[in-house]
Amino acid sequence: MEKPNYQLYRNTTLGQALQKTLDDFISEQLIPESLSKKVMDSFDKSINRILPMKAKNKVNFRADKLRAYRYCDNVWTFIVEQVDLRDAVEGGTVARLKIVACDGQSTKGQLQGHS
Amino acid sequence: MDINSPASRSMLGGETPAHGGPHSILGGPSSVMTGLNPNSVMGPSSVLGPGSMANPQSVQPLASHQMHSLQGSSMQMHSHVGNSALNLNINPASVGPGNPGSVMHHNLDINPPSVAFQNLAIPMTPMAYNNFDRDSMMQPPPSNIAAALVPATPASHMEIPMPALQNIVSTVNLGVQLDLKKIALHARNAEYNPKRFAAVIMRIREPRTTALIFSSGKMVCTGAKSEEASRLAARKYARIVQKLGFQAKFTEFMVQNMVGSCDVRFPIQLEGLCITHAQFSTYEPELFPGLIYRMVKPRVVLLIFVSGKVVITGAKTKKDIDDAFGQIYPILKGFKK
Repeated sequence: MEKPNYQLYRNTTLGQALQKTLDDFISEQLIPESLSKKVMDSFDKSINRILPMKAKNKVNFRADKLRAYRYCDNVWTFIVEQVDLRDAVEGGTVARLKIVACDGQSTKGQLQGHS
Repeated sequence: MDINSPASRSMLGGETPAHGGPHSILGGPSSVMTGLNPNSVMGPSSVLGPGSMANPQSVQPLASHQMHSLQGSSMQMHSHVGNSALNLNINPASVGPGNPGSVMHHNLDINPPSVAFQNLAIPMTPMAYNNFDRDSMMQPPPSNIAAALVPATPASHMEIPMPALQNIVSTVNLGVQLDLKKIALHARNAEYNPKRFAAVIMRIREPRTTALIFSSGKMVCTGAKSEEASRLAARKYARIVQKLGFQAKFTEFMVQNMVGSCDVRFPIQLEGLCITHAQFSTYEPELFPGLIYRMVKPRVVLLIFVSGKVVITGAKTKKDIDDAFGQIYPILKGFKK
């Protein structure tokens, strides 16, 4: 039942902001580096737990072409081109999208995209 | 596969007939060899001593004995004996001079087993004639001349379809140990799941193929539509591996299997075909809707469907596929619905 706590969400806006704040604290010597690590681990744990529960937004996308794919270490990577992304409020096309999908160990996988 | 072992036994003898038949119909080179066989029958007799030629009966026991020891199928043996007698009557004059009979004799004297093998070839011809008879409703022409005439029939119909290659499987040895994880992480379009399969599965678009790359450095390339495309694809994979920093070479390229398919454009009566070619055919409509025809020469397997679609597999060369289709086509015509 215990899901792995992937670190891939550190790359989200939220994760990056947190990381930046912690780095600032460290440079100002307000916290030690070990605490920063602890916080980030806690962040991984929380976001891995919360996202499947709380995130209800759905994004549909349709790509013209699968340019490349890879499967290694239980991680699927897809690079798709000319992607039409669409959610409830807005939509748009990006030239290239990278999709990284890890095994959620339950029925749900975890997705992350960068354009 | 269960059918395989018993079938193959009886096939050994039987196969030869079928193979020889179509061949002689086509006027192929092997028909000449078949023509030679009377000589080979004479061969053993010459081994036995003079006078045995005059007395074919004395030859036959020997031949049949050899047949028996080789294949253990008395049925084939019988047909062989009958045929050899038949051929003896017809052929010596026409075939003997044309062929290097002396060579044959030589072989026979040195190597009796090979004689027996060549004797095996004898039954093929009559079988072919039988097929031919059924097809053409003619009197059995037990001579090579008749066989020579036959090609006219297929040749005159120019609309004979040609089998098209559908898949080629080839192997290559890159001659170097490979770190599959490195390949999977750095190459595009690669899959590597060692828990499931101990090879990297990689694909390219041109020629559209899939390769299995093993850590031993051996590689299997599938999906190409021609031998050249398969070779080119294998080269491209080798180049990809090379670019990732391995000292890959391109050695031992070999085509392992070729699959061809063809549509004869008329429905086929599989039951009849199965009965008359029982040694080669497996037809279990409850298990598989096609008839499985295990041809012996060339050694390929044909899947024949009621619709007239034919799949030829197990070939190593395009010629095998063409030869096999050339042989099966007249037979199929005889079972047109």
